[in-house]
Amino acid sequence: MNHWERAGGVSENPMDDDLFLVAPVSGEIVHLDAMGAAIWRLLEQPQSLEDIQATFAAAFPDADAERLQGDLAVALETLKAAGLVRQSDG
Amino acid sequence: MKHRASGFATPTRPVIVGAPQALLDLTRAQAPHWPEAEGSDNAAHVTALTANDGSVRFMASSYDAPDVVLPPGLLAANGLIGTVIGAFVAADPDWICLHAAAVALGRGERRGLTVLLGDTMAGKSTLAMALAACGARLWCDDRLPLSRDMQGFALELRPKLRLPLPDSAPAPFATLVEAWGTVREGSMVYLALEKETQAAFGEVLPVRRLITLERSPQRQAPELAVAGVGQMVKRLVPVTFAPHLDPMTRLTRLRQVATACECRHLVYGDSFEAAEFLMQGPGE
Repeated sequence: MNHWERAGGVSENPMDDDLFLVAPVSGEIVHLDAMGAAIWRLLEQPQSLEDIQATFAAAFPDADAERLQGDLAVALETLKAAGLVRQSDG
Repeated sequence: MKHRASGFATPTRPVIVGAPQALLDLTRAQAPHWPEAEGSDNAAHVTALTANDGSVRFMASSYDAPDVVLPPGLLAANGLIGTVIGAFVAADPDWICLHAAAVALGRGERRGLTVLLGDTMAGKSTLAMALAACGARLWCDDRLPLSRDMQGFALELRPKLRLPLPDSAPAPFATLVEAWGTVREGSMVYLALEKETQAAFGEVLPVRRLITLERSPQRQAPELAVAGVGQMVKRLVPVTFAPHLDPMTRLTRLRQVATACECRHLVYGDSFEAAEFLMQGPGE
């Protein structure tokens, strides 16, 4: 269960710099912040947690690594709780 | 408890309410100019379910009303009005309802509704009433039915304010509230405004501007900034009632609403300074 991927059936609605997703089961409309939107775009292809962390670390070389990992973990769990992404065995 | 049927005329279809007489009387007192309607084949229906202790919850034929139990009195009447609005909005895909306050501002072709959006306690009602005290015409203090062609429909409900008023309330405003006050329940006072101060039931005006509110007690002077369409839609999503539209249709509608309007974000410290600031027409 170390890989992350988009859940099936999620609808996208980009508006300017903002991205809205509609969760397939609940119908909930979710506005993604910058990190959430970046994760969503990254997960166009399933990614391991290590790959996600490495991509963000490369994009934000000055960011504190521990804090970045914490923020990513929170963002992924938030997306998962909303039914937008899921974990798989890869 | 014996129920009686009472019809409410609406812009989509009649809503027939079945409720105890006392609750209907209280509701009509808060919506004294809402025309009555006869039943018809296409009418929507709202039913009040009352418990032995007088508490009440509502069911509607056109949508799943929230299963909220309300105490008897003005809260129940307010809940019934909300359910009636929900029933007529949910019966027609051309309509949505915003949980927002609105006032008419501007002149000539630029006259239109300025809609005030904010979280609970963000100061929508106080700012709307402060604007009304400055001469703006109040369209609503809490709920704005909005048609597909962007017309805001006035329901002429009694606006309400939380007491005590802020310390910064000017004396003339406090005097007006005293004069407008009708009934009081808990910390809320319900107001009866003059005809020229509040739009009559059925009046419509296009929505021209959406303003999200951010109250910051440290703020010295009000500041109005341009807001992006995406940011405005983000704020509209949680305050939009549209259970009859699927989520993508709802998002598309809200994008149309935001795109058709000036979108602004107001940071302010004092409602009365903010009202004077908006009356001067910044950003127009």
